[in-house]
Amino acid sequence: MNREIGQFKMKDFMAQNKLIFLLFSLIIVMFIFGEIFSKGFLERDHVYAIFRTASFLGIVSIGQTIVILTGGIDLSVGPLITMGNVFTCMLINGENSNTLWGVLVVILLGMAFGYFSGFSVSYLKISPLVITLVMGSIVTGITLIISHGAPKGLASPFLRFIGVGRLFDIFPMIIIIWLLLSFFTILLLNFSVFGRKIYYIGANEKAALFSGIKTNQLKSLIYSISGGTAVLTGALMAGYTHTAFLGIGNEYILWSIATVVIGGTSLAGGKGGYIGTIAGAIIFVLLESLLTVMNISEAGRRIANGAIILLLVSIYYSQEK
Amino acid sequence: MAVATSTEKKNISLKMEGIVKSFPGTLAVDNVDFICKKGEIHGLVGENGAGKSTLMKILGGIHRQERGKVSINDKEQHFRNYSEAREAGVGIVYQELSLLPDLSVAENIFMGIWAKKGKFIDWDEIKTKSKEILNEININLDPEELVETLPVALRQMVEIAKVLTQNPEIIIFDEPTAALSKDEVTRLFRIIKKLKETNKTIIFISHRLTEVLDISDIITVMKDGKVVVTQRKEYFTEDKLISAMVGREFSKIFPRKTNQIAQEKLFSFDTVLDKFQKRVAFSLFKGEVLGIGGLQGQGQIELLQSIFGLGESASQKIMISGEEIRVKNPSQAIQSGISLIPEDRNSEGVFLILSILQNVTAATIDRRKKVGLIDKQKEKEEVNEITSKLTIKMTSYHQIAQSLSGGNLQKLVLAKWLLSNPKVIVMLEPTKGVDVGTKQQIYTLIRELAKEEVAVIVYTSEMIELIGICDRVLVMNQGFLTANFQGKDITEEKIMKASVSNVDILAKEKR
Amino acid sequence: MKEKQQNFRLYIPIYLVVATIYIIAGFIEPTFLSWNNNVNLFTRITPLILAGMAQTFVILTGGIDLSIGAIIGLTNVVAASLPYINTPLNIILWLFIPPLFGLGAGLINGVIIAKKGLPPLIVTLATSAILLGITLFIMPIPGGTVSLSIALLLTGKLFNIIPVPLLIFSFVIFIGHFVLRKTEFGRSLYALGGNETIAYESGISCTKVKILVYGISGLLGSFAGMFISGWMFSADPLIGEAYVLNSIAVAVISGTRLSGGKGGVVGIIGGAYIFYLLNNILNLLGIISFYQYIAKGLVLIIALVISSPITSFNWRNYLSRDIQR
Repeated sequence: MNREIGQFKMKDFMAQNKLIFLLFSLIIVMFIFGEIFSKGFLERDHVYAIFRTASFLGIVSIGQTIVILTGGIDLSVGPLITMGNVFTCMLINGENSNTLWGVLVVILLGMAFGYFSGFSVSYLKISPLVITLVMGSIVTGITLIISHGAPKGLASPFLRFIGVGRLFDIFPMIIIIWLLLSFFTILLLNFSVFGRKIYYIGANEKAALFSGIKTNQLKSLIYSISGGTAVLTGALMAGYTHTAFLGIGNEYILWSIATVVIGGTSLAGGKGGYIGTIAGAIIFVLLESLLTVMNISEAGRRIANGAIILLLVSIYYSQEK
Repeated sequence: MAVATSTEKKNISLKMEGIVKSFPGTLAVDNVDFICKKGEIHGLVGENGAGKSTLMKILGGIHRQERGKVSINDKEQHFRNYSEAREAGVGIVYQELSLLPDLSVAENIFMGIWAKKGKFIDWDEIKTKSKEILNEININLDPEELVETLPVALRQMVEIAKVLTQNPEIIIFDEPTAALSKDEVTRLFRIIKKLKETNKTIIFISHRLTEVLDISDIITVMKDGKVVVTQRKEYFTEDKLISAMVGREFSKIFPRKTNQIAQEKLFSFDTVLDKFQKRVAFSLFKGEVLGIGGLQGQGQIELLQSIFGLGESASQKIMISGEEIRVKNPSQAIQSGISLIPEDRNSEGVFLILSILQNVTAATIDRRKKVGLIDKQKEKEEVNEITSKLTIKMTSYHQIAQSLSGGNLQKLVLAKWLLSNPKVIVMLEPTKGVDVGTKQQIYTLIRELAKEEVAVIVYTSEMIELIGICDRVLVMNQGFLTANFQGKDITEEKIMKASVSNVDILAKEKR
Repeated sequence: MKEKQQNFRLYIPIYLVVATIYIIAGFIEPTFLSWNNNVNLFTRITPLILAGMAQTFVILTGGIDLSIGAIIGLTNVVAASLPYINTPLNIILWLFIPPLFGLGAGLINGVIIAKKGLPPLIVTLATSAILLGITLFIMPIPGGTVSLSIALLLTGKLFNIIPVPLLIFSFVIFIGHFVLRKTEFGRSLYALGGNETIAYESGISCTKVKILVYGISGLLGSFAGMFISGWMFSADPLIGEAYVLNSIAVAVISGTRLSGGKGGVVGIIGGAYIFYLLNNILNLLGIISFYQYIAKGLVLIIALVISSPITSFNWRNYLSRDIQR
C-alpha cells in the first residue's frame, strides 16, 4: 500500500499543538497589557524578576506534571519545599563547601519521602490524594521538630549566586537552571522510553500493565521524582531568600497544580506535557504580577487565583467533550 | 428473508419496524423488523457483531435508531434513555448485572423506588415486599444479605426481582445462562416460563443454541445486522440455526484445520490455581490451535492469565520448546515470548486516548531504544509494516485510537503483540465485538500463526468459534480439566456435557 | 453477611481502640481520666466531628471536599465579625448568617461539580483559594468576638451537668445517621458512590443529590466555624487549614471508603476521639506539639493500610467472577 503516513505537515503540527500556541500568545498579550497598565512593566529587570519567580514554580511543577500525567496528584510538594528550604540552610550554614553535598542530601531526603508516597499509591493501592496529604503532614512535623520551630542557618554565597545572581552579570542563573531542567524534562517526556511509559500508565494503567510495563515500579519512581523536584525548589529558594522560612512552600500546592492544569495537562492522566506547564508557570506568575500592579490586595489575588483555575478547567473540560 | 408471523394484531406487544443504526465504520442494524407477541418467548440468536445487542439496546432506550419505528402495544415510542423505556414497560436483565454489591438484596431490588412511610424509608416494608417478589420466582433468599456475598446465579435472581418491581411487559434476557450450571439453568427456565404464563413478552438472547431451541416459542436469527429468518421453533434444528447464523456452510467460514499435528511439544503448562486449588496441566503440539471451553467463570481466564504472569497461581511450571521458563509478571512473560490478547480490550488492551502508533508500540517499547531514547524512525517503519499487513483502516498513525471501530481496535491489539514476535499467544475472546470481515481475518491469522509454529491458545465463549478454529479443546469446570477433545469429538453436545462433568481427567493420570 | 453484621464490623473495632487508648492513657497519666479533662475533650472534638461528618457525606458519593477548611475559616470569621453585644437580635444574626455563608459556598461547589462535571478535587481546591481570599478580606488577622452568652452556652453545661458540646455532637451524629439510613437522599449517596450509572438508571437525580451533599458539607462546616467562634471567643482566618486533612482522616478511620459507596457516621465520634486522644496524651506527657503532625500521619497511614483493598479479604474473588457495569 502506498501511504505517506506520518509525514510532517505544518498544519497537523499546528492543530495538535494549538493550545501551546494559544498559551504563549496569551503570555505576550499579558505582558503588553502589563506595560499599558503600568509603564516599566516590560523593563528588563522586571521581566527577569517575573521569570525568576516562574523558575521556582516551574521546577516544582516538573514533578507535579509527571505525577498528574500518570493520573495521580502530589499534595505534599508544599511541605517538601519548606523542608528543602529549611534543611538546606541548616546543612549549608553559610559555607560554600557545604553547598553541593547539602543540596544533594536534601534532594535524596525529598526523593525518599516521595518514594514512600509512590509506594503507597502503587503497591498498597492508597489514593494519591490522601497519602500525599498525609505525607505532607508528616514532613511538616519533621521539619518543625528538627528546626525547633525556628529555622537557623544560611545559604552559602554560591547558592545565593544561583538564586539571585546573574551569569556573566547578564542573565539570571536561576532561569538558566530552569531552562536546563526543562530541556531534560521535555527530552524525557517526549523522546525517552521512560517518558512514553508515563503516558501509557496515565492513559490506561491496566492496559499498560497488560502490555508488560512495570507500572508499580514506575509510579513509585515518579512520586520520588516529584519529591525531589519539590525539595530542590526549596533548596534553590534558599539562595533567593538567604535564610529559611517555615511555610514558604504552602502556596505551591495549589500553584503547582494550577500551573499543570493551565498548561493543558489532563487531571485524568495520559494527555499533556511539560511545555504547557512552562507556559502555565509564566502565565500564573504574570497574573500575580498584573494583580499586584493593579493594586489588588492579597485577598483579592487569592480569589483571582481560584477563579482563574475554575474558569480554565471548565473551558478545557467542555473542549474534551 | 422469510418472515412468518401471525396476523393476530391484538396480541402483538412489540413491533420494531425498519430499524437502522450505524456506528463509525459499521452498519450495526440494517433495516430490521422484529415483532413479539404477548405470552411468547422469542429467542434471538446471532454471532458476535450480528446486531442483536444493538437492536436490544435500541429497545432499551440506550441507543437511538436512525430510521425505523418502535411501538409497544401499538403505541409508537421514542425513548431518550433507559428510564423512559422502563416506564413504557421494557425491562432488561443484563449479562453484566446492575447491582450494587455493597448494599443489601432488598435495597438493590427497590433501588430508586424505596417504599415509604411518610417522608422516610420504611425498611420493614421493603424487606417484606422483596421477600414476596423473590418468592414469586421461587427463590429463597434473605433480603438483608449483602449482594457481594452472593454467587452469580443468585445475583441474577436479584436482578430479575429488581426488573420485576417495575412491572415490565417486555423482559429481555441478555445471555443469562453463560455462567450458570445445569440446575441453575433449569431454575431460571422455570422462572421464565412462569413469567410467560402471566402474559409477559420474553426476549431470550443466547449463544447456547440447545437452550434457545428448548425454551423459545419463536426464533429470530440475525447476521450482519439483518434478520435472516424468523420462524417458530419447530422449524429449526441446531444445524439449521448454525447455517443461518454463519450464512454458509460451516466449513467455509473457518480456515481448514490442520491434519498434521506433530508429536513435538511446543508448550506445556502445569499449575494449581489459587482460587480453585486444583491442578491443571496441558501441553500444546506443533501446528495445533488449542481451545479452552466450559461455562464462564470456571477458571479459564485465571488459567490463561497466569501464563502471562498475571498470576493467581502460587506454583506454576511453563515449558516452551523444552526449556523451562520463569514468569512472575507480564514483563517477564513478554521477554520469554508470551503474549496475551486480553478479554476486555477497552480496559485492558488499548489506550483509547493515545495514538495508533503509541498503541502498537506499547508492548515492544524497550526494544527500540538508543541510550534510553526511542528510535522513532524504526518505530515508524515497524508500525507501517504491521498496520498494512493487518489492513488496519486509518488516515495516519497519529490518529487517536478511540476513533477506530471494534474490529480495527482488536487488530490494533493484535498488531501490538505480533510486533513482539511471540512464541506463545494466548487469546481471550479474540472476536468479541468484532465485525464479520475482521473475524475471518482473525481466524486466518490464527491458522497462520499455528502453521508458523507459534503456540496459540484460545478461550472463547462462542461455541461455534471454539469448534471452528480449534484442533483440540480442553474443557474446564470448577478449576479443573474435565475433557480433552480432538478432531471429530469436538461437538457442542460433548463440550456441554463436559462443562458440567465432575470428572478430573488429571486425577486419573499419575504425575 | 448481612447488612447489620457489616455495620457492627465497622464500628466495634473503632470503639474498642478508643477504649484501649483510654485505659492505657489512664495508666500513664491518671489526670487523664478526670471529668474536667473529658469535658475539655468534648469541646475539642466537636468541630472535628462536624467536619468529619461533612466529609463523610461527600466521600460516600465518591467525591471529596477540600474546601471544608476554608469554609470553616470563613464562617468562623463571619461569626466573629457580627455585632456582639448581648442582644437577642445579635444572637439570631449569629445563628443564621454564618450558615448562609457555609451553605452558599457548599452549593456553589455542588453546582460546579454536578452541572459542569468537573473533578471535585480541583473544584474544591480552587474554591478553597477563593474562600480563603474572601476570609482574609473580611479579617486579615485574628480578631473579632462573639456575644458572651453564646460563648458561655457553647462551652457550658446544660442543667449544670451535661456538657453542651456533648449534646451538640451527639445530636448531629444522630441526625446524620438518621438521614443516611432513613431518607432517600441518604441512600442515594450510597448508590451514587457505588456506581453512578446504576444510580442514574434507577431514577436517582444524581445532579440534585450532588449539589445537596456539597451544600450540606458547607452547612456542617459553618456549624464548626460557629462553634469555634464561641469556644475561642474570637476568630482566626486560618483556623480551618488543619481541618481538611483531619476531616478526611476521621472519615477514613471511621470506616468510610474513599472511593465511595460504603461507610457511615456512627464511627466518627470514635475516630475523632482517637485523633484527639493521641494529642491529649502527648500533651500530658509534655511532648511538644510538633509531634502531633507525625502521630496524625502515622495513625492515618495505619488506617489506610488496613482499609486498603490489598489487605482486606476480597469476597469478590472468592466467589464467581463479578462483572459490574
